[in-house]
Amino acid sequence: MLTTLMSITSGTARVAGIDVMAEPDAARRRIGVALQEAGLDPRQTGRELLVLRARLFGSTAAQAAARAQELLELVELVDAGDRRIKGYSGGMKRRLDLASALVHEPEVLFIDEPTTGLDPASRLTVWEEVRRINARGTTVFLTTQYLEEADQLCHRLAIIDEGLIVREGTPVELKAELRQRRGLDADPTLDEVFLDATGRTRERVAGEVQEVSA
Amino acid sequence: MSALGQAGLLARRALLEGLRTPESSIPTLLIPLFFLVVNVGQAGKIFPSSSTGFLEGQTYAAFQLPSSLLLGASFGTAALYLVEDIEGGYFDKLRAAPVSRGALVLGRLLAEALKSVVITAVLVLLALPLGSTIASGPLGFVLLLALTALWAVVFAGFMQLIALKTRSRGGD
Repeated sequence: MLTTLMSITSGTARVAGIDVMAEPDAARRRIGVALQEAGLDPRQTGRELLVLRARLFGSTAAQAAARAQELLELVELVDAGDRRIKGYSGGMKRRLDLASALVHEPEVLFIDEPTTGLDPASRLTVWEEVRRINARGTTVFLTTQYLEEADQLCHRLAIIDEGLIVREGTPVELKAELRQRRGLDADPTLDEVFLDATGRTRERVAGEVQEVSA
Repeated sequence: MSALGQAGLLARRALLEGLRTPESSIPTLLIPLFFLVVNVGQAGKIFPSSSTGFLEGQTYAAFQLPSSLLLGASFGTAALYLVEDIEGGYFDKLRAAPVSRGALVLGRLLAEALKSVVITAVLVLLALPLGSTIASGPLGFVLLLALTALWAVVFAGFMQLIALKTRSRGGD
């Protein structure tokens, strides 16, 4: 809904100060979206994809070409830039997808589960990419199932359970709060914070799994 | 950028896509050509123009060619590619850009019109040695191309409507 891909059923939402319902195109100019599945066209080359996208956001042909080159350098795909996307590996696709979300220099970048299904090396590259984007002044709104990833990347995080925010804060705060409340010797992991916040214990989760398999 | 400009960019992409998968255009050309040759060769013998009323003095090829052209114009692959875009997530990417919703559909239709012009021209050229002539001259030929392209656009548009409604290629 925040990315204007779904209609808002009730209430209002603002991204970067813009009402996404009232002015979807204005919002689209301020946000970049990288969805869980890298949404790419296998028959275009990486460079063509970036150029087309830049032009759809209103760049001239020359600006678009320059921006595509810049982005290919940023995600280290210059060598593969003129090959068709069909032959890219999963990690390369994910990086190109990130680049394509950045053509118009958005203020806010939405990233949905950027490393699902990637091997550990590709995952580290994507993480590094996200950090670099963030360091260049773009707010990154990242959703993930891997709390280790949230711990690594996020300055502020919210845990959502059944549609409601049940915990919010910095990873350090959240872990410290649980440590204090439980009187633990060491900091718990974010996984433990999550289980605590959602009221699910390891035992119950294990039990549910057994029920399913029975 | 205007909606038309965006449609132009997307049409260019759709044409490139067609050029890079030439195998998808081969049936569009071969199947109408097959029926043209077979029907002109065989049905043409059954209906000699001298004794067949509905041919009005023309060859059977002249009667057969228009239906082959429309057959060719009805093979548009735009909807299949659109479904691929939807299933692959690229369509969502386009929707998340400030692109006119009309341009998303119009781009592919423009490409389809251009493809149809090329295919129609090739079919007509190939039919010339079979004894068909363009009775209405060069202007008639241009009109023929335009009308066939229009048919292709309407047909592809209808298929795209189904693609956008169902959002899948079916069978799953």
